[in-house]
Amino acid sequence: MCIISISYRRKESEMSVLGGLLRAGASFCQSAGTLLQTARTISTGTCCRIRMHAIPELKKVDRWTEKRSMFGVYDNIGILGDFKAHPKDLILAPCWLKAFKGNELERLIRKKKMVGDRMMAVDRHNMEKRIRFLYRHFNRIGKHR
Amino acid sequence: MLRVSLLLRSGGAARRFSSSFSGASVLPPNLLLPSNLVDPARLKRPPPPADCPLPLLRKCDAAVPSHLSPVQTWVETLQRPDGEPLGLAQLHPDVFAVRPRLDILHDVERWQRNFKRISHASTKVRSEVRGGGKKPWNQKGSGRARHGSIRSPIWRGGGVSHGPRGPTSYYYMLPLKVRVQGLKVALSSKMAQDFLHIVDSLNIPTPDPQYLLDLVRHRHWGDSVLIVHVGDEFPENLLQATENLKTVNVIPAIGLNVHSMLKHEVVVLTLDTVKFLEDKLLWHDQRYTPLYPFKLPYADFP
Repeated sequence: MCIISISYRRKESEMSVLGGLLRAGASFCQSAGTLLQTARTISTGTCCRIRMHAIPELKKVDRWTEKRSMFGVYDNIGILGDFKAHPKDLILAPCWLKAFKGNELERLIRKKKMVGDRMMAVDRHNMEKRIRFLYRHFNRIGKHR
Repeated sequence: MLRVSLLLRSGGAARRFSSSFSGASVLPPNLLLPSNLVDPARLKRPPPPADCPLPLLRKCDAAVPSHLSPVQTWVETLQRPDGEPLGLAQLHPDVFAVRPRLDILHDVERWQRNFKRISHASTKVRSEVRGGGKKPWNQKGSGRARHGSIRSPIWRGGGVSHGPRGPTSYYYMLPLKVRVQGLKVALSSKMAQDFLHIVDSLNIPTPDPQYLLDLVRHRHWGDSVLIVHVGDEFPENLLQATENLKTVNVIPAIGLNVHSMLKHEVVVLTLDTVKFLEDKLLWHDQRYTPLYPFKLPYADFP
């Protein structure tokens, strides 16, 4: 799509985009041999601002950090530890989400019950608005009431 | 550019042509082997034969069903760097030789990854974004599209209509017996694939981490080792040696789990650990269903 740009400042960026694309295209062709057809891409607008090398490098991930190598330890503390503790005691979460799963309305109601009187006024007001909206949405709108 | 590519192609063809004349076992110089490829130099040690002269160091405490026979394995030592076994041990088949239920392993692994997960991704809805209470321009007359607030989701800087909402939890629990069976299946799989080693005790002569690495390399154990021991006290030498090693880790027996067993290639248990695990895991085969949670006191439970 050709975008007619009125401002003249953009001419240099357009030229550099063209040049960059041609250079990237040429280097890509040389490295891959003659398997790929050379395609000259021409950009008439300012849409293609993303410049990428042909094949990005894979990010190096250390699979043996302390956290990754010790993940999951003590998950069976109930079975192997005489049921004095439960794996739900290991969860690091806000207090209204420990060992609880629910949809958004259930989570907000639980949060209001457990933490509501400690919340900031604005946050509590927004939460009550959201509870009101979700209650009406789930119970009055749509097929499932 | 075309001439350069032609030369390259001819060079590669000549190299491939010449390699077919040389011996069959010449490896190409640019071969990249994956790190988890089974080492052909690793000798598969055979299970102990029936007439082995080494002493039987451990028998099964619990009763073995008559249609099954105990699993026999070598008991090794970490004191000496060479791999001569000390004796034999018998392991209960209902813990170390159950069927390899991959679906149970998958379920337990997925549970371990997800039940602790709390996603803190959160976005603001149009009512929570600051501003946007006033109608930006009159409904009619300005010639622009009609809008009610500047924070509606179609506006730049407006709220997200269906985005992630607040901290979300993915908690669920698998049945107790499924988690127990997952441990048994993981132990049996390690035993069947020859990745489980029994050791009499965890005393090492030196606190040098290189000693452990040489021992693992010499015995062809694998890349990563998980050492499991019962109780709170660990030998000082072992703790010092494994402190800075990434792939050799020590955990107490209470911390044993399927994810760690799958992550580490080799699992090393002591004889006390084997007794503890058999004791804990076999109890679930013959227990009554709980009338109240197990953490409340029972008359006959420990």
